[in-house]
Amino acid sequence: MKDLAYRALETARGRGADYVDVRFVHNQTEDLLVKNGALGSAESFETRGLGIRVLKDGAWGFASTDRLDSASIDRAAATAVEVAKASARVMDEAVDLAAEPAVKGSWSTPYEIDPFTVSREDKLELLYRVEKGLHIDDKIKAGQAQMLFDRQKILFVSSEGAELEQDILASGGGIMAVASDGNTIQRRSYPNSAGGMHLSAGYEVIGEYDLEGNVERTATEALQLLSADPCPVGEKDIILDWSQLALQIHESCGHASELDRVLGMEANFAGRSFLTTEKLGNFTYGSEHVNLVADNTLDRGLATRGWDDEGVAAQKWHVVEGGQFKAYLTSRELAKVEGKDRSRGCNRAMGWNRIPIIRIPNLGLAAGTWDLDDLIADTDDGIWMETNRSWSIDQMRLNFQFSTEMAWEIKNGKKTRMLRGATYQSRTPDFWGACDAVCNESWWRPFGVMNCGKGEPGQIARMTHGSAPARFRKIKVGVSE
Amino acid sequence: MISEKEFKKISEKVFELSSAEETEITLGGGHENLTRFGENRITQNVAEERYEMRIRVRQGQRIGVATSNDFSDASLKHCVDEAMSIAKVAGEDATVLPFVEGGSRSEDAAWDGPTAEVSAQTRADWVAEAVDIARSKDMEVGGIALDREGTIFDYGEIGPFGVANSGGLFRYGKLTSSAFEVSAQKGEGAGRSRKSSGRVAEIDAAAVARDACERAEASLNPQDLDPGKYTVIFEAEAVTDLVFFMGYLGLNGLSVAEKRSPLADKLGEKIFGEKITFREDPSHPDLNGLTFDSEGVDTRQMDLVRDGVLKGFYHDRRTAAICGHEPTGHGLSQPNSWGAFARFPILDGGKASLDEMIAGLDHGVLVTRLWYTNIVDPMRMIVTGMTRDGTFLIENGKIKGSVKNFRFNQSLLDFFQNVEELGQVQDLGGSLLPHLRVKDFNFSSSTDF
Repeated sequence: MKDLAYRALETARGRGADYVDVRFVHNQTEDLLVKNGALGSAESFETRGLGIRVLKDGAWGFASTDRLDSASIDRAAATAVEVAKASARVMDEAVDLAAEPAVKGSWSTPYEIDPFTVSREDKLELLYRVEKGLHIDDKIKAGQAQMLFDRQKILFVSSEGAELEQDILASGGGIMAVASDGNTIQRRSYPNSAGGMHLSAGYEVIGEYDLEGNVERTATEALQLLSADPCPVGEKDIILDWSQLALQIHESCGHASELDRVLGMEANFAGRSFLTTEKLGNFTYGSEHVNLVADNTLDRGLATRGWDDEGVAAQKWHVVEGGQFKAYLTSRELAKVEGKDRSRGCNRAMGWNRIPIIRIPNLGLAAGTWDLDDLIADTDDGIWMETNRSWSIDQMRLNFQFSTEMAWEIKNGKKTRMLRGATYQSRTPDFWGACDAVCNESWWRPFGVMNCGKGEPGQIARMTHGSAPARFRKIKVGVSE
Repeated sequence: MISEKEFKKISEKVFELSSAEETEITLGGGHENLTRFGENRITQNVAEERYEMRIRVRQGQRIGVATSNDFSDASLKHCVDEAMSIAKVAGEDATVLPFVEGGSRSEDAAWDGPTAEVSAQTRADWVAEAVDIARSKDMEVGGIALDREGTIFDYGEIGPFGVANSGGLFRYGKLTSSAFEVSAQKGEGAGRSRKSSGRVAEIDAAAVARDACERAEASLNPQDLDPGKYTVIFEAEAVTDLVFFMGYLGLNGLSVAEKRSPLADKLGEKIFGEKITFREDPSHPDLNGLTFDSEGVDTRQMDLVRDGVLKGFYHDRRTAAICGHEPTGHGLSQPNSWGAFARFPILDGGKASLDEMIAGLDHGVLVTRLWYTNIVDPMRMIVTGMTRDGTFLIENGKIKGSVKNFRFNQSLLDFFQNVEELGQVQDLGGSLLPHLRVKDFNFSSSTDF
């Protein structure tokens, strides 16, 4: 494939492109899902193709093809240049890429067990067994057990001389029980909602999750939620678990600090951001306890890799430090807007067929000092909220409302009763400003997001948001009707 | 595009290679070109061509599926072998059905030659027009110009334009679409307009840009308005999300089969106000799409709700069999855990224009668009979301001014019971929906802009 990638590069150069990069991607996915004793999905996907990105006269063009013969490659390279010429018709100033060393190298996800070497029979046998175990009562209306494994082999070459090969692996799965008594529907998921927990690792994660050991608890909690009291309406101190904090970080900090959004490049779809450029280094995003760290070198992070999809090496930096907004998520095109001479390496593409755009890196809430038991004991009138269920946020990333699968009322330092339909709503800087405690390193866990949508045409990206449970004071909870 | 003849050849090869009891191949993809702009400049410009085949085999009550974009003989064999190997280890499923019977049929009513050949220069011309209009009004615009032939959808997911099975069913269709969307911004004022159509000749880029800019101008200087319950006029665009969630939560055959729909046991009952008639019509000339679903079942013309009475659900073959209903041709590729969805939705409307509806309201709010709608309580069909790109206070039959955006938490059961007036139906490029006036709509909080 290297020959075809260089052929595309040379063809585009020959047609007048000033800069070219080419990504060849071979994607292999196995998606297994058992629902109510039947296969919900048992699918093997394999695709390959090539994407060519060019700059011509300072404007972008991109074309992709899955026809991997010389004529099709030549045609796609020519199309990329023609598209760039059209882009130049409506441009402001020429794109000026921040410098990045043109490296030749390779990188692979560390793993113990290659999931594609584990027999499908064994995987399905486990899924059928754990799914069956969820049906402990007639009120369990749906049980679900799933696994997903995905490998991307990426070859990146550029006209600057970069030649990078990466083998990126993601593995994960989980279980879910849906209970209904005809009046309400409640669900419980383990180890995370939205398809389970995924990490950049191998099949070993499935064993680590101990799905079988959590089946009964998951189904029991779904049933208990049916008779749990509804979440009260009012103001409470809330303590969020890892899963909910992952979405909170993702929606209110991750997307808000994407520089392309800030500048209006996403205005028509995903929206803009309240973190406008004059706020950089000059805005109190949260309390002193809030340290949000981007880290594309994070062990098992879903965005962890050697380089992003424009050849920029993985980095670690503070987006928010001591509550102060410090940095954006950038690409080579936009690095200078932040006043930097190097991209932070956030430009990633969904696959060979889509152009890289700024994506949220692994972004975590740094650990604080509290023990979780002490934090609960220190809370007089609060709610512990666990496992994300629903999310919604305005297009500037300010007003949000989240709900979780399960919650516990905390009264005078003790968990007292289970609550269902737990919902909280706030405004981003108010919410993070109300953070007065983050648990310590021993409570810190990475949680993956597998379905982050952005861009037109749309692209799905993955990233990990690690955190330890954290407390937020006097937050509006419940939904008034 | 992979032609009907080529698809027939590929499918015959696959059937020869497969020793399964039944074999199905679906083919999707095509080419999609999209020019994206923001900050009054083209920021991204892409051209994509790709195809995927999905091979599904049935061995008794077992199913296996494999997908690839490599159509070489070796890959066809590998793909069949993969599907067979999955079927071998899959558990038996009593709900697995024999594949669809049916003859051969192809269609091209949803295809338009000029739309299949829009150039990057044409799309750049549209953008240039929009930027010129915006600059003349001291505004900034962003948006997309799109043309597509085939079935690559928004997030790269591929739907079928060909379905064939070893029992003799063969469906093939040609499809085009085009769209121009503009989001305009001036200070705190924001407006959006879009036009999408199967025929590029219907795209008037300047008209879309002017509309977006006028909306942004009108929404300047938004004022605070207390959240609470209001009578709200929803422009048809803002009705889209609510109709989608009504279908997904209430009318989806899978939700019905799994007793997760609050409407599951209400067939024949009056569930909404009598003004509500919600239906599917694949023959409607303004609704562009292929008239068969992912299993090759022809999509039915049907009522979901007629005069407020629940008449039917969206079904694929599996959920229809479980519920004892007929399949309606709204299924996705099998197996899946999503169920069946609207394909040619129409909510019947009335005669009033938007201006007439506003003139008829003493006190209320006009919502032009909703954003980030999500489920809060599926059994009560409560959803939350935000207003976006222009929300207005109406006083004494007139727009009094722009107001800051609201968050809503609203039961859709109540929403469709509380419809007081339906306005003229609008062509939203994929659905036909009217403006609605709804009483007691629940805005639960507001935001800063």
